[in-house]
Amino acid sequence: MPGFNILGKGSSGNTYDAIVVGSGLTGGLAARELTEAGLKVLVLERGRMVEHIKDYPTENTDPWDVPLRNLVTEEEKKDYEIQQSLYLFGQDMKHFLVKDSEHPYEQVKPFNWYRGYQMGGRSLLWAKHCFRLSDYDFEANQKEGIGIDWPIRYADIAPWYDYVEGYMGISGNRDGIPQLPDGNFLPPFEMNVFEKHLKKRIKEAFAERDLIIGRMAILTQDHNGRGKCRNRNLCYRGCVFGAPYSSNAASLPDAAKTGNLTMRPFSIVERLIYDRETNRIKGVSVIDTETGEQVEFFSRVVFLNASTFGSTQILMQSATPEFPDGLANSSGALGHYLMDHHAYIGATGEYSGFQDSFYYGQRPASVYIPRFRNIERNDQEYIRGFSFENYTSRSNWTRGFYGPGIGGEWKEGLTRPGNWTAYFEAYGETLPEYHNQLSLSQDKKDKWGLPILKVDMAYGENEHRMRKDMQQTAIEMLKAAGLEGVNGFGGDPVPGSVIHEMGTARMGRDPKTSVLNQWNQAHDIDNLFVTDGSFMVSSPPQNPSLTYMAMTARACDYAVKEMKQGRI
Amino acid sequence: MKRRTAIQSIGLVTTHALFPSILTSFLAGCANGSKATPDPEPTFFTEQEMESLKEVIDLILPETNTRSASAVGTHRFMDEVFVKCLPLEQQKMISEGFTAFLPKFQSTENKLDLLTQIDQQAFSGNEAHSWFIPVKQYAMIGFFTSQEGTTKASNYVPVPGDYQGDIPADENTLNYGLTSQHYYI
Repeated sequence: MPGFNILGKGSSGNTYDAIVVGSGLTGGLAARELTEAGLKVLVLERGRMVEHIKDYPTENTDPWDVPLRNLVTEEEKKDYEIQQSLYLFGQDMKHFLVKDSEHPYEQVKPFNWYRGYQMGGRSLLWAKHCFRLSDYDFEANQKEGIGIDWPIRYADIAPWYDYVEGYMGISGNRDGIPQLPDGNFLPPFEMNVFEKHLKKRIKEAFAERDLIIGRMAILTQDHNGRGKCRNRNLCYRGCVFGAPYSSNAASLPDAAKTGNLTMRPFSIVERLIYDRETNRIKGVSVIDTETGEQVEFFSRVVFLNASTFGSTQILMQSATPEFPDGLANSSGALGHYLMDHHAYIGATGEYSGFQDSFYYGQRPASVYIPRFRNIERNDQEYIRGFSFENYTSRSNWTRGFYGPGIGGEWKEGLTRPGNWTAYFEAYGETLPEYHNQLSLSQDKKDKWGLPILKVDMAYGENEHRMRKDMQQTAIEMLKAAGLEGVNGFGGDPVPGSVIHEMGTARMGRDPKTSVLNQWNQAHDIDNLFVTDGSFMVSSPPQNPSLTYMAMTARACDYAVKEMKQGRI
Repeated sequence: MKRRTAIQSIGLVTTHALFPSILTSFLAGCANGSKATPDPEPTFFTEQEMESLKEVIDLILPETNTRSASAVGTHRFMDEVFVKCLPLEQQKMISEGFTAFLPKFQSTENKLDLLTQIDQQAFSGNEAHSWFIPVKQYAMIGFFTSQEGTTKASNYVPVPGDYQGDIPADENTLNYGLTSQHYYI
């Protein structure tokens, strides 16, 4: 990454135009937007440095050279107690996740909090599905009297979706589905023959259900200096081509090219420095995790992009006499209305046709069925809805795990592609509830003396009613498509497992009920912006990151204009 | 049904963004394969048990178009991961089951018949033979993710390039190797 500065151990004394706290998806983009606008920007990251390509140690490791063939040891299952339950977890990527033993948090009820503390954060690991919200989503709270109204509508965010899609490179097809607006897409990934069959048969049986190719932040052609996907499907190890979007491959190097970026890894923000005279944030106080020193940095504007939990925790830790319940929290909404999607429910089945067809390459894109319930009117036993993320393949040798068979003929049989298989998993919306919340632990501190975060979340009645339909619709679609051995799956989900933490610093029109205004700017403090998932007012079932990105770009644009006008 | 069970029921390999997967590498020097190193001391099995384990896994995965399980060091892999990666109670179950099985295995004329019966019974829920299931599963992992299993028993295309959703296949078509090595067992 040419052109950037990395501040070393204990260095200080610097003043910047903007400080961005966090370097994941939204922090990276904020850094890029603000540096392109000419601001001198400091990015603070609590974890280590991870440079694109250079710090992807397992990228080219052959499977037989992966330690323990990627199995997880009993010792690691203790150290990574929560992280090891992540579907990606293994020897080939564990360096991108924290050890829970070193980064404890309190769970009032079980909550899986997955964390990657490094430059780039979880942008190295995200699933890269990019779907727009629509006015069906933005209007729902108001229409149904749930929570508070979104302060924006689709028309406000649409140009910013266009903008970030153009920057990130989102592959997708223009499907013309009102509840899933089309975007500014690169060419779509191709569906395989079995998926085309599923699409046709599902549409014939259920006119309102469209199976479409996933819309992915993975390049299908060279784009903005990054290379197109080679269909290895190992994005999570890091990709030398830069085909999957990450801060490391895109926004941080782009920000560095401006000459305006400084990055400081190993820097935990312990609190924002509030100036009561001016009612502004003066800067941030940082703990250098290498030296243990406390260091202060100053700026005109601060962007919190430390992830939903991280940003809310920083605001809580920054309480002052004026804001005893957390900085910028005159509303009392900070920490509340925590949401995650609920998933891990659906159905599987197999298909014995198309034996003479196969695919070439390991396509990293899934196929998707947008929400089809309660669109124009509520006619289910629950409100809101769910979408499906689906995977297909011809089964491989691991099918031999599950039944009898030994010997040469059996072994040779396992080397051939088996039946086509389909895995349909539903992702449901979760309603915002005051009692689903974050707070600071009263008595437990981490190794830097900071109070650890306490999470208290459970899914509600609406989610549980929806889940029955999520499984039922999966089963009926697979059966309609002629699949055999169709089995529903799904139990009680643990919140956090979808890794779509949303809410806890929601936006809204009324400063009495929301933390942020429609520009992601704190109602209480003009030079403070929060643009990660914490601003979310509801949790439409579309994967949320694209919306965070669009709102981040929009907030940066607004902040720069306000600074130029002298209002910030 | 739990998701894991559901995946098992159809032999689906992996989920989410990992799905479907191929083993990968694309830089020169990645194909040098297993180096000749002296066998380490066994830790889970005794030296003597290791000899029997080699016989067992070679009946499960014998030499065919590709080498046998033991010829690619699968028994050493199993010895290592059983100690490091399995909960103690599962280790105990395997150890006790395997020890009890050995006298009969060593004395029988037709070892393949014996193992075939045990395999059938283990998957029918006969707990006396439960030990056989992880032995077979880890033997499969050991073989199919070895260099031999990846490049000879599978079609190894480290950097495929553009995806194609419909190419011809026949009875001689090999499947792709496992890329994202996550095993639903």
